[in-house]
Amino acid sequence: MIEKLQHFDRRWIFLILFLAICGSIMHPVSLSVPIEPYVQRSYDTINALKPGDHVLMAFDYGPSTAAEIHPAALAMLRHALSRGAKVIMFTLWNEAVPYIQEAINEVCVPLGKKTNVDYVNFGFKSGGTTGASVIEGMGSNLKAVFPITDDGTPYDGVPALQGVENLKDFKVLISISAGTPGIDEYVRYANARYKIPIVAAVTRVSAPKEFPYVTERQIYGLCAGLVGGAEYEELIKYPGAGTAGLFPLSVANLAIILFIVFGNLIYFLGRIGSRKP
Amino acid sequence: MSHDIGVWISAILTLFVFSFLYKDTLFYRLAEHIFVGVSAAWLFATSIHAQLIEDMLMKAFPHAFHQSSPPEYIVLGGGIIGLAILSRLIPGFISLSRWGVAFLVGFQTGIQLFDAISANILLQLGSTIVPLFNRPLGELIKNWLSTIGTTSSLAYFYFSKEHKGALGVVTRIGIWFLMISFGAAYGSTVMTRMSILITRIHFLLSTWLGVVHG
Repeated sequence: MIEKLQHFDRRWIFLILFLAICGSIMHPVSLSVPIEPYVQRSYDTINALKPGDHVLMAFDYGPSTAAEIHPAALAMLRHALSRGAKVIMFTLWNEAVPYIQEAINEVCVPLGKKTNVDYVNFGFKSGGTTGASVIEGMGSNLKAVFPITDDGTPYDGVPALQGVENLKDFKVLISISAGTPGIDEYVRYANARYKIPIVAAVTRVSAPKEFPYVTERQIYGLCAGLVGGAEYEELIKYPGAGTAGLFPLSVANLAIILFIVFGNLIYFLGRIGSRKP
Repeated sequence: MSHDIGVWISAILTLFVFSFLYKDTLFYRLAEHIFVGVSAAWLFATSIHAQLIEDMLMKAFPHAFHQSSPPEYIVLGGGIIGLAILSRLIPGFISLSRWGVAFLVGFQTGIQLFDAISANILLQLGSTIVPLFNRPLGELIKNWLSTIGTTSSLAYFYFSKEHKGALGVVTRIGIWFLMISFGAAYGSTVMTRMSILITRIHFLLSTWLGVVHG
């Protein structure tokens, strides 16, 4: 019996996991969302914005990570716009271009915000592997880096950019980051040199790497993974994809834990069995 | 069920990729090749537009693109450096590529040196120097754990002396801290992958099949 279980076909695990997730999506259970202090700090930073303040928002992620951090991006954008801030969006990742457009369609347009007046989309800006040249360029002259918006409007013709010359004119930088170039580069160049406050949403797997920056306040607040997005949605009282994913994620994690326990149990029982004469 | 052709293509490709969980199928291979091809094409097209057209040609020759800004011929220098790097492909001109690479390395080093030391070393170093006495109990536990964890983990990577005696004890403690951090990283990776899986299944059930709403 133990030997049979030791050679258990792993495809059963995939099937069970698939069914567990399907079931939890089709029959969701509402879970309470305790707020992490780091997420609360992100919320507090954006909540302190006043109407007319400028916010820079970087969408640095792609299809492989959007599932985790796109909900946080939408929630933060909604929060910043609802505070009356003017949000300037761009990306250093060419895969992120559709996500900016999706954010505009799902958040800016329903809120009645006007392009180039309440928000600006600069689209993709190639900054190489580190993005250093773009971030440093924004520190000295934003217009030189982004001479035109994504819809072809010249920088000087954008009402939302009146009075904005460089990074120092922004109250906060929101970095939605899944790798390089991303949050590490903004900490290194935008925060270290130009002292711009940063709040961020990152993938759960990269969050442990970013916590030391949060401790030193190089990052003011951090939303980690889908759960971080759900927490932010809870704070702004606007449940979205983050909240919807919370129960299936809990079920999936529970299934993984059970599989790990089961696997170890079989392994140790097998060892005990093999020692018997 | 969706009537959008894009949703159908996306759903079918998702199922093709999932077929790999059963075994390495022809469907998975097809989806994989489509993914690589589309990604490369997208990267090529956006890079050409963003770097060659927007960053160089539009700035150097703005009137050709109906822009009123004054021409910035200096950006053509970047194009020359780029061509120098590409000269590696032409036999007899390989040495030219070294100039381009040297410029890139020098620029990146210069721009990163100051900020990286400040942000990644000095400030992080500062946060490990914490008070170990006369603080509230909770803070003391956190500070002692941080100090012991940092020093013992660093000691593990000290290879100039054999890990025996007192150093051996410290490095063993360091291994425990490292294993706990690897465990946390593994747990985070599982959560990341599960989030992606949930989103794909949600897409299939909601956007494609319409079984789930919202």
